Amino acid sequence: MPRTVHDRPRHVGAVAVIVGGALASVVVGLLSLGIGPTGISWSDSLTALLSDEPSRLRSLVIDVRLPRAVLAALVGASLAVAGLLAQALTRNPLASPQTFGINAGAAVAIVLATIAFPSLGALGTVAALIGAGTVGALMWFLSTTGAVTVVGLALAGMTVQIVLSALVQAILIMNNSTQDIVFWLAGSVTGADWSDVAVLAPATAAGCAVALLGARSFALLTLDAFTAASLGQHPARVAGAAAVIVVVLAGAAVAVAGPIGFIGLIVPHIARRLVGARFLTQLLACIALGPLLLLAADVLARLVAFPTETPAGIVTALLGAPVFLILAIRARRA
Amino acid sequence: MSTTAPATPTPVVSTDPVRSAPSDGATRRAVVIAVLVVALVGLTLASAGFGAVALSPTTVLDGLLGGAQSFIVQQYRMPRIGVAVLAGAMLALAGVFLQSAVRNVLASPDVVGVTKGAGLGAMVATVLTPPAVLWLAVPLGVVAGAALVTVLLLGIAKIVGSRGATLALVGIAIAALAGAAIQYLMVVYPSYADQAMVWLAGSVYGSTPNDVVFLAIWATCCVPLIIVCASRLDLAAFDDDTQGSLGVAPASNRALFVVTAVVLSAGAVVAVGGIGFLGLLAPHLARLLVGARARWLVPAAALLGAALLVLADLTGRIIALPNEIPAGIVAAIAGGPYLLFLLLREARRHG
Repeated sequence: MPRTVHDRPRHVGAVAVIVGGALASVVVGLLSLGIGPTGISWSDSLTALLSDEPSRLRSLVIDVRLPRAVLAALVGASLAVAGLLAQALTRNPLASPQTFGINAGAAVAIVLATIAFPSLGALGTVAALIGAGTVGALMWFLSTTGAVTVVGLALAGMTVQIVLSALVQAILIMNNSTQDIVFWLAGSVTGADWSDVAVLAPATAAGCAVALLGARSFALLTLDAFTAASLGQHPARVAGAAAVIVVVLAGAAVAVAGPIGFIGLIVPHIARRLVGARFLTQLLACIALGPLLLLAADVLARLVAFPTETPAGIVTALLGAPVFLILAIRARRA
Repeated sequence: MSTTAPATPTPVVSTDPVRSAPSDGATRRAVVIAVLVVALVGLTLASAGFGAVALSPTTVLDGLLGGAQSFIVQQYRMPRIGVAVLAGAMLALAGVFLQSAVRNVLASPDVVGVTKGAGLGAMVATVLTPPAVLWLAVPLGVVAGAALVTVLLLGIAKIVGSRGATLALVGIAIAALAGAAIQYLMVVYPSYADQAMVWLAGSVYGSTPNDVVFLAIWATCCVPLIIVCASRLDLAAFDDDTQGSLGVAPASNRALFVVTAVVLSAGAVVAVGGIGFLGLLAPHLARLLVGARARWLVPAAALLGAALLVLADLTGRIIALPNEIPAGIVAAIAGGPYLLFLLLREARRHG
């Protein structure tokens, strides 16, 4: 929770975490260019990336592997920032786009929309935003009633998530699209191309920019409305803005990569641990570490069952579910 | 002193079994049970009649006795229904006993991850052992998976306490982990993906007469356990001190309930996978209908579990012709909102 006083060494450490995380993201992203079923050495892929000569190798790197890495980075950043804001907004350490069912809401909407209007294309993102917004509004409403406990809210969110995931499966089975089930249940950046990046990049940029610009206001979300108002805030407006950012970031990420889970839950906790309580530094750390985590998960997803690819969402779930478990236990003890 | 279990969600039903005239309540409950039996038979006939070849109830009965449509009825329709009836009843009873053991209305095997753990055990056994010994390995795997999750859950319950939503949330986290592990194995071993889908989502699709026999044997072996548990269920509703003064050992009772719940849900998972929220819904509905006394609750819950699973399967077959929605998915969509309702009502009461 935000403290006004922070000591200098901590500050230096936070900068190191943010810069180090960003650099590591770039390194892992570049490394991921050399990993895939077509055996290209890492140096070859880098050379191909930098050369101007058109070649089969170059188009593989530029059109298949690079957009995938960029997309993973964008999705990671979007979900992490959405998670941080959701946790601040609901004052609930268990909040995240996935654990509150927002990802699944976007998934249901987009699956329905693509089936109803197959030529929807990138406009499916709009459907995803509507789905995410509906569930987000419901969860926010529940959290503001104050009657539901921290754990109860998370349980309600997970229940919504389970029901909506079942609905996704049912819809896909009804339309003979069972081959898409794992994607729409777990999420994946396999098969990403530049058009996906073009869909997500503006949303990520806008969401992160607004979050950064308003960081001072969003930091006060964790206070109660009365204190925030006495500090010159308009709590309802700030909260509304935060909710919109959460929905835009999560909805757009789901539209291109499916409901990748747990990134939005665990990255804010890692960030908080590493950089301390200042909201702005937490936000920057999320933007740096979210991409790192999802890129690493995607690399792992390609390696664990090589040459078969595992959806990155399964890897993040395997890593994230135990963390969720620990957080749930701690939420009770606190 | 109340005879309704603390696990009971509402200050249940106007008919307190002790205060109201015994014969009166008993008659009403007997009628409820009879209605449930009739409903189950009706659903069975409807389910057996529905399909690519529509059969009238008389044709179904005729087919059962070896008549004209006996092949369809005996080889396709009835095995499926038999599996649904047995597995539904087993999951519902597992819910009754687990809820009583941890004194938590939310602690049904499907909410707290026991069925997902069992599914993971089945999947691990399937990919690790040669096909020749699968008949043995899969049942061992499910029991091991279900037991492991339960031990983990009870261990955590020692830390966080077993009341309230925390235990359910912990269980859901465990279920998410087990579900992700099943999905992972599905991707790595695509040849088992169809079977894994059953364990992941829950379905009675493709049940064979052998499955019914297997499940019937498993259920029969559980009958003594069920009877013993049922006979101790009423006393288990008292707090530990009262139980002790009544000459009951609460800890060993709870252990017995847990073991029974694990064995019951494991058997159901082998055949149909985890059916979402069935083990939560059936005991709650049963308690609303007949109260918390074991002699009524246990048969009512079993009947409701069976009827609900047959209904879920029938719905899944009708709703998306010519495709089938697995019964587990239908149950999750229908049962999840009930869990939400429970949570919100709880919140309103404390809020």
